[in-house]
Amino acid sequence: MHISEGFLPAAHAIGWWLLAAPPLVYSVRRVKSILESNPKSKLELAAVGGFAFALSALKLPSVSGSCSHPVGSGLGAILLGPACMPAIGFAVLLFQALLLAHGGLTTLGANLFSLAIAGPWIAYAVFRLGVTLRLPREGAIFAGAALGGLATYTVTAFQLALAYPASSGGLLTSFWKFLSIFAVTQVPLALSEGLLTVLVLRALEKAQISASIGKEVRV
Amino acid sequence: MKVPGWVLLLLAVSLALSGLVWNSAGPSGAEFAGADNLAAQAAGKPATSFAALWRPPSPEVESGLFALQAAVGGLLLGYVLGRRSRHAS
Repeated sequence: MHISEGFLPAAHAIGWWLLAAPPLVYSVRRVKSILESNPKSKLELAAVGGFAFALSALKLPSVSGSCSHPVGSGLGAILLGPACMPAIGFAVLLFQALLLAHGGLTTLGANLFSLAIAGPWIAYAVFRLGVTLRLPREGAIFAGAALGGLATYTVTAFQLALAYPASSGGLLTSFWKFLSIFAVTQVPLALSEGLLTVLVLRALEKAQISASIGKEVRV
Repeated sequence: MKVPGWVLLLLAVSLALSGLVWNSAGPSGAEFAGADNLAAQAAGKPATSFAALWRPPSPEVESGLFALQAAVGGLLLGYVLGRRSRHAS
């Protein structure tokens, strides 16, 4: 889902940065206050960050004949709340932009918006909806993480379509073009991500880290 | 109703493998290029001349750094799980 360095016009790059900056600042303060009020949450935070780091490094082959990677942001959205995720996403994206030339600094605002803001909020909303509808809890977690991952890529396709509208057909044609590159590739990966998120949350619960997933989350 | 962990893991792994198996069934011409790069190609020329400040000098270095990223993530997660399990038991 990374938009490569230089692939957004200056106005778009700045616009996405402006949109992503307030949630980023808020999430840094929020992470700080969580850590101060409950030192034990350091471990939750480390687990969430570790999961996001590991998953976004795994480029997996897909049925479409291309490769992509899961995002790993659903876990944190469900465990700590979506408002915490921009800080973690920023760490991952900065690492990849500086050391791997994957993504970029000018496009970091846009990538942050898709990976660490839109994706986590969708994941959280789907999870809450599932809980409200009295789905099995792990079913809600699976759906949240999987759809959050897919949402990230849908937003990326939209961002690229905005920057590169088709000369005939405009925004919508272009959106479908980019979505077709990402979506087919991402469906099996998003499903894997949903399964892995359930597994990791199970392990965390077993280790008595998160007895009350989704209950203590305030956004 | 709780699906056993190993079933979930098996499913996750087979989803990842399904891409390889699906594409090896015929001459599909699958190259497993990165979707990010395909999107960049579809976009055409970069919109600005701003280029990455630093690039890994070779694919080997790049894959090493990706492995480093996964290792750091795995270590963090593993540390937390191991530490808490010990305390819990």
